[in-house]
Amino acid sequence: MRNREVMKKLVAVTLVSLVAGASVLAADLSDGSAVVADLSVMAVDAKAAVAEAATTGDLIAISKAQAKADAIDAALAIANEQYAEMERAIAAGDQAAADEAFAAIEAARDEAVNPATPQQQPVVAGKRAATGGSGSSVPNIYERLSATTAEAAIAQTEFAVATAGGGSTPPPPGNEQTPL
Amino acid sequence: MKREKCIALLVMCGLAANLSFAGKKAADPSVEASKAVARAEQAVAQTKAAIEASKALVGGVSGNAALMAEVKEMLRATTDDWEMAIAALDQAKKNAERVASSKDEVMAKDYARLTKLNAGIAISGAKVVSTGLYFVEAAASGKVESLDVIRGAMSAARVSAESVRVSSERTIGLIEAKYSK
Repeated sequence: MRNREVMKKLVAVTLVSLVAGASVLAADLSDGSAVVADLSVMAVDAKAAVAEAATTGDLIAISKAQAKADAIDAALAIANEQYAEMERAIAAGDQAAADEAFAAIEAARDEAVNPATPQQQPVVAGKRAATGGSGSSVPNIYERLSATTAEAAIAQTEFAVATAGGGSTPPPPGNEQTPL
Repeated sequence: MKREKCIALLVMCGLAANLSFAGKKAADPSVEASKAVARAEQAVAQTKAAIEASKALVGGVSGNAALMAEVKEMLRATTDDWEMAIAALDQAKKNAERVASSKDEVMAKDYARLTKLNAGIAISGAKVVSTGLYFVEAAASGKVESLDVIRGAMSAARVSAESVRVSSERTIGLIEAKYSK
């Protein structure tokens, strides 16, 4: 499974790091890539906010949440574009261009986190920086979870759905899920 | 009098410069890692509560067999996301501990970055599950007009989650490359 492969890789990095010590290149792409990952997480959060707003039935709230999601997607598109630019610059040995591209990636992320007012909207690499942002306001009520209890929770929910009269009818057309 | 004003101005400028420098100082990797773990914990706890709440709601969908099947399918599809969120949170915590115990500054920063990546994967997984649970909530409460919006949000959330996976995997590979020389 793809997700498990990702997790295995994370563990592998940890082990290698422990034994190898830090022989680190002066500049690398991981800075830019990490910011893109950060923006991607924001994009998922923004989509969840759209769904949450939909449950209220408040059209204005839905519209605002959708606008934020679109803005973060736009920022993510800019960040991906600039990351590709950063890759090209580093491959060409042009550190100044790489730094400039990285700055544009950071600017796209910052703009998504703290949208500027219309009077102070910055320009990112020749394009308007996108606006938006979302966050969670739930209090920190974390209690330690195990994968076992998580699986059990989902299984119980599925069981409840199945026993409540659900058939084996496939989802309606147009609602196919894209697997991760 | 003018001289006093000049001195006061210089003192103010010095203070402002110090404040500016403090603001630009690199964040402490341990603090960054702790914050990332806290955010992931919060997202996972929120989703766990939503899973519990949804158990009571699914019965409300039973009158509509097609919708019930869709709810069931959506929950099944989010199981992997939930497992991934839990595993990533655990990994984030482990890496956060290594940030604190790392004596090498560069390695501490990279562990902090790994912590943030894991936390991001955990948040992303939890949010996809939450999105699916909003569908259950809307279906159970008969808000049929909301379902299309949530279907669209779920589809888009999966695309974004894929972006999290790709960019995180790429970043991990780049960090890994630093230590394989």
